Amino acid sequence: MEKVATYQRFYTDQKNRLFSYLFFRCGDREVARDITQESFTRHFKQYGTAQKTLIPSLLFTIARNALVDYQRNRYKQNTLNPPQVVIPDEESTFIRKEEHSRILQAMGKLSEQDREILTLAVGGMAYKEIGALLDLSIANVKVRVHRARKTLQELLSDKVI
Amino acid sequence: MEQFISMYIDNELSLDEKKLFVGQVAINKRYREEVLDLLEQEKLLAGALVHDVADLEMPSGKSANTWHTLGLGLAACVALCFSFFAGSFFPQTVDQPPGNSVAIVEAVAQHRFVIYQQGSAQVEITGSFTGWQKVALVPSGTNGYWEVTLPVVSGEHRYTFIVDGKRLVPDPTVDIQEADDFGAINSILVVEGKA
Repeated sequence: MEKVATYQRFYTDQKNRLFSYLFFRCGDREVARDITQESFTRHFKQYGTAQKTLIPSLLFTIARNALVDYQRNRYKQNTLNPPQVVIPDEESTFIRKEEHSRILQAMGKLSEQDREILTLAVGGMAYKEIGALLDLSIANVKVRVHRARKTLQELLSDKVI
Repeated sequence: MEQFISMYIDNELSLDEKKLFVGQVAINKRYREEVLDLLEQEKLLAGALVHDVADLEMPSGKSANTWHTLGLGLAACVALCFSFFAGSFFPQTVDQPPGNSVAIVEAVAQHRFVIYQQGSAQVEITGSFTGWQKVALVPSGTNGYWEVTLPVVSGEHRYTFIVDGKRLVPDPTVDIQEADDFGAINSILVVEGKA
């Protein structure tokens, strides 16, 4: 029973983070939702509720692979329209505030690598976990996270956005 | 030193690094302004990132059913399996029909929540065991007490009462409380049970 409660806590803690991460990777709310669901299912099937496997980087690795699979399949199905990151505009029901729309536009202009690492950091993942997920040293994570923040800051300046 | 700003935002500074960081903020105006600027940016970013994907289903492994369905099923079978738990869980709960025990897939206790709110028009409860959905309490007579009995799986749960639709009130009968990220105080209920 303790395992169930522990897993429930893990699920609750990670689901929004994972969704945000996937959303900013793919730019599609529905795809992000589906892959979030699929990632939890795959993680659960493979590892169950064992506490030592309730590790964010493990779950996010599954999600990254699932997203790559999805994008690869989608690309095969529609080579004329390769996948692009589409950030919802102000009319979207998903983003209602203008400032959110503005920051999402700026995020959409970041490189995929910067967007990924910044989303992970803002989502609360520890640098150690980010390093494990992206196969980077902690020192490298520190540099890249801050560089991504600075780039976003520049994009948000009036001169750019 | 520049990276310390992000490390500060992400709670990654060691104690020694915190000393250096605070010192730099104190003496360097440009650095301080940069910190404040990035903190403001972070607020916007965090606000944009936090989405509620409440329509997801937590894997349960019990069957192809969703966790939500499992929870409803559990609630439904509580009446049947309660006799099994009656000795160790909450004997003050609602009457249960005598019956045969069924296979126990989850330890579920019936917990009676009671709060005194004289003069209130509505009292609800929301917590981890309701999926943070509001559940209405009913007046217990005319003496100002409100109550509801809910199935609660074993484990640690957080909850709070909502009085008249807006005022959050922690359970005064529970000592353990915790502030959440939204400024509310949740009561913590630990239900122990066997697997």
